[in-house]
Amino acid sequence: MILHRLTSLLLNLVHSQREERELDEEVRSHQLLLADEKIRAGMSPQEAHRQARLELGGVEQVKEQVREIRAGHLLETLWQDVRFGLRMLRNSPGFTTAAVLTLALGIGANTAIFSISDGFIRKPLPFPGLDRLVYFSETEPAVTSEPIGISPANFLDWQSQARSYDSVSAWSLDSVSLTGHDAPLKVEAARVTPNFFTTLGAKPLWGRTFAADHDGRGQDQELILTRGFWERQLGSDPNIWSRSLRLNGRSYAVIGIMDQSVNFPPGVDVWVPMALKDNEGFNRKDRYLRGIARLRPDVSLRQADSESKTIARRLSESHPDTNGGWSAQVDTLTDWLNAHITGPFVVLMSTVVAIVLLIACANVANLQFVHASARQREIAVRTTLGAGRWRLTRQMLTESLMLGFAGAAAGMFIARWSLHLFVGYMPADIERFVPGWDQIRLDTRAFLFAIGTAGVAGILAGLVPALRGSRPDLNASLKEGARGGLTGPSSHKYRDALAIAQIALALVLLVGAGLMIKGFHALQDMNRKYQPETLLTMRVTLPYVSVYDDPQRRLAFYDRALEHLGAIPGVRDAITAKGFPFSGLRDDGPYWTEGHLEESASMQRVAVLQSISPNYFQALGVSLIEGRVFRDSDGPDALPVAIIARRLARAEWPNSSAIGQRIKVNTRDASSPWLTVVGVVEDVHYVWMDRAEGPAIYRPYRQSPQYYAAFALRAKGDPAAIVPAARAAIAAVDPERPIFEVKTMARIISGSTLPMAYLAVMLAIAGGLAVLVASMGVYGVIAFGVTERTHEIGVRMVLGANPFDTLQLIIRGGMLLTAAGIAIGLPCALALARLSAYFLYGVRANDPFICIASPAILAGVALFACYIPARRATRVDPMVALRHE
Amino acid sequence: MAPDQTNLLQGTLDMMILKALALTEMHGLGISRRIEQITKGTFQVKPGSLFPALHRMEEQGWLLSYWGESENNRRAKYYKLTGAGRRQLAAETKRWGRIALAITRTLEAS
Repeated sequence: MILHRLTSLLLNLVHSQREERELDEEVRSHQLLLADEKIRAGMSPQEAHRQARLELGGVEQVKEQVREIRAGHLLETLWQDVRFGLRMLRNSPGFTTAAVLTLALGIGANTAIFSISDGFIRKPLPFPGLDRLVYFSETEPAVTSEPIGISPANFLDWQSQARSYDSVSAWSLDSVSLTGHDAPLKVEAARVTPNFFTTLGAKPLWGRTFAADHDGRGQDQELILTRGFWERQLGSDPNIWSRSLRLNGRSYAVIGIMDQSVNFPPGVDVWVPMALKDNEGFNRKDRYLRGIARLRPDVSLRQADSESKTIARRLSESHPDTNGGWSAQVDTLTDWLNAHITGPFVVLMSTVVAIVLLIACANVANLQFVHASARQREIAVRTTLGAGRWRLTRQMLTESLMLGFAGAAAGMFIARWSLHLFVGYMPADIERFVPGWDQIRLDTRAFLFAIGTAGVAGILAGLVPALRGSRPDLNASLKEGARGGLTGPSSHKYRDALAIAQIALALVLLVGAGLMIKGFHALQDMNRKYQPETLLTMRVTLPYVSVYDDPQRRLAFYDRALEHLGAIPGVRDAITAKGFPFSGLRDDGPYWTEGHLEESASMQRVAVLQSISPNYFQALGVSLIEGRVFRDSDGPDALPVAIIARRLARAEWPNSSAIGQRIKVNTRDASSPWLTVVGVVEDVHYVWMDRAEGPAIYRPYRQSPQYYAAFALRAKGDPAAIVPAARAAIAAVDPERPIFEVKTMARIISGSTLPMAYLAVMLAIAGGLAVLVASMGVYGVIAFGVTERTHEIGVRMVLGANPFDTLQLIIRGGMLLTAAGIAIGLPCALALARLSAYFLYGVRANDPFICIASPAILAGVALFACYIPARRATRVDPMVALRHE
Repeated sequence: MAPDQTNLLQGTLDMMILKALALTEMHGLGISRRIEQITKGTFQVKPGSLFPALHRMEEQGWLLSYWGESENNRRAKYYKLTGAGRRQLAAETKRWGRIALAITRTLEAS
């Protein structure tokens, strides 16, 4: 049956001319046969033919009905519709331009966001078969749902036991120092297992990758460069092959250069092989490796995940001391990369542009209502000539779709332009850490997306006008001189509803934008207490396998570094910490309070663990609430002490003072000392995402010297001026240790709040667009209403209405629409705001200012949009208006 | 017959056309006259419903059409049943019998 229909469809396409002729002939022959019959019954030939014609009914109507039946008819009429539509659109350039531009804005914005999300989500990295690459890690379900990493010994067991993968590898990213140049240089070095690039499927631009020798271990002392690093830091040295580079005091031979797109792990400068032999391979406790593997083609992610849990269970049984309570999980690499910022970012932005598109569609739908009423006569004529309702609906839908496609074409330009802006404003030092950034472009997928969006938009904007417009009131429309119009009350209802919807949606966006901008400001205000412009920060790392294995040596390094830094002229304070607020260096760890060491795993709490110098709080303006700050005497041999944030103190000891209480951090075994709480300080926000904000525990650096740290110098004058002196100060302590990420706190903050700044700007633009388009919508409805009611207004004026009454009448109509839109939009906006408040600092959903200001702005713009047509109404000349009828 | 009545009897019309064509092939006018005759004038099939029905049934593969000569030497389009058409007629007849029986029972129930 389907086959039959298909062949018939094809035949109809091929024979459409013949079909048409045959149909004509058939109907004509029927008429003749009818006439014959009547003649035989004794009628005069002339009368017989007349009767036959009457009995047949309209020849054209019969034929049209038959044509509708024909399957192939659809395609043929589509082509007719398109040609006719083109003519219609060309004949009303004003309408066409307005509709296409409105749709272009909506489609362009959606296409741009689609390209961005596509870059992040689908192809963050240029590896073949990216969907088969997985990130595997151990997890400690009782402490956090976040994947942790994997320890070397566990990794080796995995590598030999897992059956789900073609290849299993690991990496760890360390900051190391490159020496042999003017100043030691901080380099992001990824130590990778030799099969790392095989797993990724990445080939070097030049040279080769690490060779695995017979026991699967790579040659030490080999190194692969990223192209960017080679160009930036080594001046594209063509003789790089014959040179060796010194990293952390060991020399490495360059064996290959990778293209910049192989930015994995994100931010990497060089790769060195990891041999996991000797002691390191037996380390089951420290989970600093990251695992990546390529799934076998016939294995699903679920299977791999459940296998990983089986292996983890087996390991926790055989090694309860290090693996007890640990499980494992497998995610796709893309999911892991997108877990943090980009996920919510993409969801929020997609919602925003979808709303813009909806507003645009509502606007174009209204334009089409107006347009349809202008051609009411044409439609009525076609109806009497035999066009079916479905046929007319389709014609109008086709026109709407054509508007959509034209909008998509124009929208591609808008998308290109906005992508240019979006990508262009991202600072290079942040861009490197966002995988997929360099993949953002308008490609075929974006193009297909735009076409799909155009189709949806065309139908959304055209369906109701088409259904309404194809059911004309024949009598009224065909009357000579009638100003054809969809003037029935139900048409008003539709147009008003669309205008209300636009206002409501615009309000949602406006409130969103307002909250975001306000939140951004609150964030900047909050940071002002740090006086970030005069605080110069820098980082330093101490290598694991070196003299710094000894905590005494690390302590001595920090002691002397702080002493040298503090002595620089122009420096008021020199402080150290593991990481400063917003720097992204934030170490979360578990803690236990005394008496609750055996607390069940589900009760486990986590805090930001800091290691600071005594003057940290004073230099950052963080006030002490209770107890004392650290002293220089809180050294390695003194009583281990800690200061806790107010939030933690309240949570743990709500009814008593926290001072004198004892806690353990990181581990609860005997090797971990009891820390006595000596002070409580106010809370510090370490990241801008409110959700990630946790309580903090501070320890003096002299009791917990770390392998990495940040320094900050409070400058009396220009912070840039003290940079050389700071480098010299560190070099005086250890010439091999580079300082890096030297920037003011202000830059750190602006860098880490950049996603929010992006969101704020984009929401502001989207909100502005929405208000503009929605007010154009209100304007259109009111202006059309005035045109329709010219006669009525004329009569009112003759009957004594003054211009002010008229103005009031028209504006009242528009403001009622606006009020209805606001009444509907405000609850929706608040619901949405509650969502965004969830993950943005300083965004309070029911902010009174935003809740009042946004509707007020919208109402103001709408008022202006109503005022223009209303004023035109007051200028109606009653005589002209009445004669017009 | 009023137009909305034709709509009501859409399926019935198909069945009657199939029945009319069961004996011999006919042109459009012949079919409508035959139906008039069978139903003793109760149903008069107007061209407006006849032709769309014929074309639809042809699309569905129940009918075949060809050009032939009428009784009085006019060129006319003739329709005849296909195998599928005969099967359809049989199925329709059976269905109709069931429906008619059910309706009769409903109306006769007290």
